[in-house]
Amino acid sequence: MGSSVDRPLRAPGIAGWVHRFAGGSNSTLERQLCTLAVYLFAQLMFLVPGVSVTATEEWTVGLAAALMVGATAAAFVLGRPDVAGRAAMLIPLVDLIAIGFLRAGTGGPSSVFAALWILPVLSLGVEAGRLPLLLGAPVIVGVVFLPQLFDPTSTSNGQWIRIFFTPLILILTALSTNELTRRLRSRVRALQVLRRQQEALLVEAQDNATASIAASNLIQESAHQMTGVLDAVTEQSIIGTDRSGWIDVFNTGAQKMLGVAAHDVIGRRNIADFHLPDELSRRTCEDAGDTFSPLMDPVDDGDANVQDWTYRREDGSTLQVQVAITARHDAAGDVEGYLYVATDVTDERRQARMKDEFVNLISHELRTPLSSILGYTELISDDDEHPLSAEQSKYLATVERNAQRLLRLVSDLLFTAQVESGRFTLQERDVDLQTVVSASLESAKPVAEARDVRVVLSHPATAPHVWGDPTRLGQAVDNLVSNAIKFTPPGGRVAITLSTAAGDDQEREMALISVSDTGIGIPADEIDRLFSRFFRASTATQFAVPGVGLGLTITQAIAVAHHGSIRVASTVGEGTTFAFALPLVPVDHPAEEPPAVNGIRSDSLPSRG
Amino acid sequence: MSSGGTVVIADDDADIRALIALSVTRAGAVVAADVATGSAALHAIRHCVPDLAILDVSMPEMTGLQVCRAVRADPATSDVPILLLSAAAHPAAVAEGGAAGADAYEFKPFSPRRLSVRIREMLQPRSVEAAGTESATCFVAPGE
Repeated sequence: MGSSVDRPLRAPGIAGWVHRFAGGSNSTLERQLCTLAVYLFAQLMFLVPGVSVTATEEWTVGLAAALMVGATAAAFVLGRPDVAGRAAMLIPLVDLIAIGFLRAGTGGPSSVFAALWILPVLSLGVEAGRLPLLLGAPVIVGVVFLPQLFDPTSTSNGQWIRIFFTPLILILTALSTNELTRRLRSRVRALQVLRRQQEALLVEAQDNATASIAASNLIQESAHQMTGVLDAVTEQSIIGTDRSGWIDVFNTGAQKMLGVAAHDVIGRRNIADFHLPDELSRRTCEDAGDTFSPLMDPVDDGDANVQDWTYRREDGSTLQVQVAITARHDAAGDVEGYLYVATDVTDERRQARMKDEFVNLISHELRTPLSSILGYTELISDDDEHPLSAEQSKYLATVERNAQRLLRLVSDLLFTAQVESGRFTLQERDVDLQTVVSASLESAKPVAEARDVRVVLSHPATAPHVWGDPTRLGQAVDNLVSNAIKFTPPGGRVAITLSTAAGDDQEREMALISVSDTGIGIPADEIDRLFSRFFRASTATQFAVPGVGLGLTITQAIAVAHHGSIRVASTVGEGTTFAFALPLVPVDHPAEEPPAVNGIRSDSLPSRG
Repeated sequence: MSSGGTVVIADDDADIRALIALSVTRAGAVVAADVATGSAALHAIRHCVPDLAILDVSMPEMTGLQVCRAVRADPATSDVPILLLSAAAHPAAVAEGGAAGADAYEFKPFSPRRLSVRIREMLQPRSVEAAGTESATCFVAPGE
């Protein structure tokens, strides 16, 4: 609090004078000076010719003067603000006595100076508390009766009446003054308290105002900074809306992407205005009925939701965007709106589509001549009328083997492209893994025998079942088995083990296909890159093992698509083990058969790559 | 071998057409028409109403799937069995073919031996009831 609060309160007008007289630090002296002035004026009466004032008792008048001088001197000392205490109330008492002696010396009850008592009586009355009155009352009575102490016989009956009434009136005057000043003091105190409170409130209000100005500056600054950041994003559109989709944030990127100025949009347009009505209504119907909004409802859980949408520019043209939708929350944590951060993916999608079309075209164009090569090769080798010589058969087998190899490569490239573009679909059903593994073993046998590699299979009594695409799973196992044979030197051994084990989360049981070989192994520092596209282990190139490095990429993609995993452990020179894990379908609850594909026979899928 | 029925073949690759034709002959059937485009295939099927149509999926003018739908939509030809042949080794293609009304689906490259077996299977029910009545009566020049 400021020091201003401690300043004495200045009441206006008569109240101010009363206050000065009744309180304050130097009022004791002021009051005494008033009394002294009146006393001195009364002394002048002795000098005025024709005024019949005479001192009957000279010594009492002298004593009165001495007391008055003493009282004034005491007032100088006791009236100082640094002298605390109640001794100051003795001064009017001394004044009363001094005036009493003056009166006694100038005619007693008939003296004209009795009226001088009024001032010390008032001084006594304005002293705080009742104590001055208690002390003053006997003094008043005493000084009034003082002349009778000197000469009791000279008092008339009228004078006795005055002697009895005078102290009464004086005491009542002191009492009234005391009561009035008490009330005045309490009022002044109340006013002072009010003033202090007012000043405190004022200071508080000033502090609050300062704080709120600072806060508002901070908000403005951060809003400015935020706008700056948003507007610096020129290649992505950032649109903020309230809960109903009305736009309140529209950055430079959005203006550029949608071809409309922010001031034409903010507060005037809805996010739906920039979407195709067909696309919106289609997704609205698809999802959950009329009340569902595809632009808002999916994000209420707090996470960003990334969706593909078509934005409509102001000029009517469209662009493909990937939009991350997030909810905006107020201080209480309630959703107050949404933020749409969109990236233009039109070119990206066009390129992906072109790449897809290219891969499809190439695949088709390569397969057609391969169909002729393989078909006619088969015709020649099947021709019973013109049997081939042993040498011709051998050459033809080489042609066929290489055509098959080329075909596998085409299939693998096509499949890899499908995995990359996310168009990789599974025709899922309940799959008996033992059948899949046995088929792989059968198809690998001729190659294994040719390389003098022994392939053994061990499996549990009950065949594990999984939910998946049998063709793709067969392709994955084929890849692992043919790799194992390829990387195992003659005389080696490949072990295929079918089993079940607890998954990593210990909750789900997994079917496990592990393929171990006694081959050349993979260096430890290459294991991490093993599943990358076109990666080939140094041992593979060193031992001139044929391949392009797509098999394991495809196998891993198949494992992941089936919610499974693939792991590898290897020691150079000793061998490698691949473990392919898939979520198990409990045998007592076999999965339901998927609906037949319009009754078409689809048992003649392409030969596995 | 007895004459099992008539077959319309459509593929834009002449070598593949010859390979299919050989498989048809080996299955004991007769090639009624041997065409290179989808629209020619539709014309041939409407003209001959064969016992089997073998259609490539990817052909100029009309795709095999479009021909398939048109054949099914026409009451005169809706019963003609159709075998689709495709180089698109995508399992989803099978479903697409089924939706278009095809009875069977073979992927390229195919084994002529296995295709013959397939053709014989598909002609079996018809050849029993139609044996010797209408076979080898409808010929359309290649490429029509």
